[in-house]
Amino acid sequence: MDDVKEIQNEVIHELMIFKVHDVLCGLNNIRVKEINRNTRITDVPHSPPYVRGVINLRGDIVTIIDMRVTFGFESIEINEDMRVVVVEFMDENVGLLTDRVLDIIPVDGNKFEAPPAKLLKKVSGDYFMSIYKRAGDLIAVIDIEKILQK
Amino acid sequence: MPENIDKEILQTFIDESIEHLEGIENDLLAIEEQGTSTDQELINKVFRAIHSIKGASGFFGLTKISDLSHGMENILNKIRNKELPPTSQIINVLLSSVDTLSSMINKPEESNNVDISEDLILLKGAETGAASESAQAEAAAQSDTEKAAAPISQEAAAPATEGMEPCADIPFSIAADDLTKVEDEGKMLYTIKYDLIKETVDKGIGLLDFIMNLQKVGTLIDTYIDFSLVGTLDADLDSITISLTVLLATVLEVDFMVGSIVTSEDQVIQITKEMLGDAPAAEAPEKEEKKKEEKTEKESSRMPPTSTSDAIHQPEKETQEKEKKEQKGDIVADLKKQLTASTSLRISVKLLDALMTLTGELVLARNQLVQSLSVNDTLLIENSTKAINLIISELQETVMATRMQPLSIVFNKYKRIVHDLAKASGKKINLLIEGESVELDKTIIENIADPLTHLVRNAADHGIEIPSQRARNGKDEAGTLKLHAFHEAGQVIIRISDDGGGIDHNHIKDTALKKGLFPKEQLEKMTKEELVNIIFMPGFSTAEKVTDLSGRGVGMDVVSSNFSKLGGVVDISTSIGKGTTFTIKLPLTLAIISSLLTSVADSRYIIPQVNLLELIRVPPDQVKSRIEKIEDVHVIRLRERLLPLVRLSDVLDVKSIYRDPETGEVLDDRRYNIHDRRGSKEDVSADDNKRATPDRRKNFDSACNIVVVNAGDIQYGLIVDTILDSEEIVVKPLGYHLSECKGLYAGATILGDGRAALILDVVNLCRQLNLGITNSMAKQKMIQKEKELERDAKLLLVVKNAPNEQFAFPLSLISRVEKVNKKDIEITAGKRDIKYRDESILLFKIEDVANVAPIDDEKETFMIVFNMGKRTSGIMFSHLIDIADIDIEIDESTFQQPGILGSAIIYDKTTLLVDLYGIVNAKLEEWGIRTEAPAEGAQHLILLVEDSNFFRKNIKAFIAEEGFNVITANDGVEGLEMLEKHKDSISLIITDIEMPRMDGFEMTRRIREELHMLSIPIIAVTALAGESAEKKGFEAGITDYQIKLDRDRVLASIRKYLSEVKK
Repeated sequence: MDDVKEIQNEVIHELMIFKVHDVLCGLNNIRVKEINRNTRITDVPHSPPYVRGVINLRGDIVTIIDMRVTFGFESIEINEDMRVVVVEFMDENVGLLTDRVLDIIPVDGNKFEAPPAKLLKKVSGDYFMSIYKRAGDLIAVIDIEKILQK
Repeated sequence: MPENIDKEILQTFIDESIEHLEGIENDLLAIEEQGTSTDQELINKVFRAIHSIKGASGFFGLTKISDLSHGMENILNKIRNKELPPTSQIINVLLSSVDTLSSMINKPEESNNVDISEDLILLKGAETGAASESAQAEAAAQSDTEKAAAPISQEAAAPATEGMEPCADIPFSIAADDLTKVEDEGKMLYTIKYDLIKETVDKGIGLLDFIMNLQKVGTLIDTYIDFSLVGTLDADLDSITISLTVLLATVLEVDFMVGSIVTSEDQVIQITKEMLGDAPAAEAPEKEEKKKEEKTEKESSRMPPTSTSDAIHQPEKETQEKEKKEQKGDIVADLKKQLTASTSLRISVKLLDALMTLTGELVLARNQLVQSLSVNDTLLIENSTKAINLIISELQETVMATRMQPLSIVFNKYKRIVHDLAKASGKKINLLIEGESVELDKTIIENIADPLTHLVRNAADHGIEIPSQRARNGKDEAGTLKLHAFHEAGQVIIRISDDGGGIDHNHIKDTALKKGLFPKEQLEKMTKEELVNIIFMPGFSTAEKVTDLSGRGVGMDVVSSNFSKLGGVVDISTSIGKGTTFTIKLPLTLAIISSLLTSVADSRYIIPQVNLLELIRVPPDQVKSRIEKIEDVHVIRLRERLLPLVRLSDVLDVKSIYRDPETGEVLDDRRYNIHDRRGSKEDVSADDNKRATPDRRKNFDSACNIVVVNAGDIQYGLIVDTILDSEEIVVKPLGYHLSECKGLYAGATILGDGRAALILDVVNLCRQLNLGITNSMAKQKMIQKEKELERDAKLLLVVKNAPNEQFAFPLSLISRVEKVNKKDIEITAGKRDIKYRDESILLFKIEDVANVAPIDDEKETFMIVFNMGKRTSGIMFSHLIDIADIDIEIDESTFQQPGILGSAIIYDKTTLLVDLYGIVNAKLEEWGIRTEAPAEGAQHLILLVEDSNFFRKNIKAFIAEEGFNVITANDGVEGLEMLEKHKDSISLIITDIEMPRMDGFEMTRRIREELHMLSIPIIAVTALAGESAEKKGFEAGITDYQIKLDRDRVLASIRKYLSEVKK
């Protein structure tokens, strides 16, 4: 499958595992700049619905993308467990608001599979590059470029 | 280009060259202007600049740059020697070469691939064509063939100073004098070509030894290395040759050289007088490309002169040409490139030193702080914090200063642009530049070039008419385009004005209609200014045709949004047939701006100081009387004007909050109408003002906070929940995902508590709301309302004596309001008096005359001090309420009694209007005191025409007080009747403008035209003098305008005109 090849091209050594609603997501750890508990988010009225707001990241204004909204779930109030995952996109820092960050795991390149058309009957498979099979659960590896492309 | 060149040195070369080129452009234009009488020094300057570019580019092996600059140098040399007149044709060729040169210099690594043949041919054409006065192209071709025939050419010339005669086939300039000198010493002059590799590497001797060897046999005058033949690093090492040409003066004959310093006779060329003679100064400055062309011509037997030696680049040629044309066509793109390309900056050493000193101080202060922290000395900590605070402020200023650059960087480019535009459109345009030394932040300078150029281009292209049309309109054939920059109120103002045809608002109306930007009815209702402002709307371009020089599809909307991105605003004023002026207000710097912090709900929003006009807090009990709704727009009455209001919470679609008056609880504010606090969905009309009961919700926290902002063509009020503080903020850009809502925000910043806050773009916000234009209906009504306001607006001092009785005095009649201590009041013979400014004045109470509740017995009261004739009197009151600037309807009958003129509803309360003069006169009469009329006035009879009882009484009172005899009339018709009756005795007329039956204008006209009383002074009194009304009045024959209750000025005016009548 093309998608799988793409992953192999990108070479994933580690996956950062996080949760959005009940979706277990993975992100190539090399893309992660930092994981942050700064959730003092300033609302930006009239912004696209998937934008939760902006935060101050050491003097930079960083846009926060609400992963829940992106995947089509209800947005929820900020809670203790939530983390902002900062990635670089188009030369700027963008924060992904996740429900919680679970782990960073080394991966076995053979355990990737193509994503289904829909995840949990709701989330479009377009947002994912592949599914990583782990003992007991499946991790949906997100395609960060696609997610952040408007 | 050799790859081993130090990038840093190359950058210096680029910077310097760009600097040179910038100067050259304007100098060339000046040379053209001055013609043959050109200042020699100016030409020398250009020559030197080009020459240094040539020299340096030769060093870097940038052959094309060197070739082109050499070609330019030749022409300049001829101009310098007066062999070539600096015609505009020649200057144009030079200018276009400057363009090519600067585009090459901006990308030096690609410069050797640029096709410069066209420029070279043009240069040659200009050089020879002008001399032989034959057609350029022909001349170019011809000169080429000539050159092919005569094998005299030259490699890049060494520094050619005046008097030097460059000669043939040698890369050196040799003066005939020098040759003579050499010959006088019995030596001969040779150029010898070596392959340096062979001479040194192969023979195993060092470069120095090689040179020494040469020095042994003669004098080494000059050397030249042709880098173009060196090849690149990746070339085969064995095949590399370094061609070195030396200029040697020696006594040796060629024969003797062979074997000693050369291997073959072919290497040597002897320089003779004849060779110098063959290439006289006029023809001489040939260059290496000629030689190359010659070579190609030899090789490919007469290739057309348009081809170049760079045969390898032929396939690319077409695209390159295309590129070049594009570059040439779009001066703006070039300009922008140049401006944005500057990655390095020159700053004065003084500034740098200042920075260093401050940094040093900062280090010391830090040490102090660290030390004081370790000993935990609060006083020391405080001191060092203060010191750091000071140093950082100063540091900030100094760093900002390093970023400041003069506007001349941008302005000077326009000389060329306007010159080219004028040429292209056959217009004559004088460009005046003022204030080019005004400095702005580098970022702003870089970013205003684009929109400014657009405006300049528009002015030249569409604004200024063609000469014939100008002449027809009785204007000077040459149009004037003026760029003017200056500082004003911490901002920089740039004005671009032309004396062209102006913008026809009807034309805009038609276009807007055609393009369907607005429905017809709406356009019909728009004012002239609104119509003109349509040009800033997206999708509007009035250009009849898109010329090469105009628009390019970029509209004025882009111009406006470009400026607003920089925190600036554009304003336009135009007058048909006279010209157009664009006024741009810009902040000095972008990085740090002053701003106002406001909040709506729990979010804070920032409004840049640039856009800020004033802050208004409307107390809760006035919200209803001051804020109204017209159509869909809320407006506030602000100094006789109506200002549209917008609730920020509505704009941003967030919940507004307010504090509950009783519980202090924070609640959502669900008010639908600002002026009505009952949350009803219906518009509540102004009739509510008449409710005499006090408003239940007068509460501090439900006051209305309004930030009045300036958005270029329109001012409006933003209603916010709270106004917090003013703060200096650092502007940060918003990310990619928020680009869609950039119309609302100018960026974001980080506040003191570390949270991000959004900066509002009030200019765009207003455009998005369409406040200015689409609410034309509302605007019309507003104008109508404003007119009404003008008629009745008066400033009233509102006071209270007893809790339920409110009084008002016309403020203009009062000289002062003073606090009175009860014990200072003396009662003598039944009269109250008080010391006031060294004089004893009589003090009255309203209840002395009128049947009203007695004054509250307070320890401290107030008094109104006013003048009546020569007498100063005071009237006491106990509570000061406010100064009301409102529209009131005076009821003259209900409360009619002595001392009271009438009543009105002010702040929902029945308020009695006090008759100041009435009270005083009544009491004085009672006491038997007569005010002695000044003798001067008695002989004059003044006719006062005024429909309002209130004003009539007041005005009559203060005029009569001065001793004039006054007769009154209620309107224009009555006035005319009175005038006819007392035709000879009336010496002056005072009239109101707005009156029933016949207004003041009409009456005046009739007095002048029908009664033929041309010389009688007619003073019009209005509530507020408006310019247009004044003009209309003067046309009708009114002598003077005064504000109704401005006693002193009305009296002064009366005296002035009466004395004129006497004469």
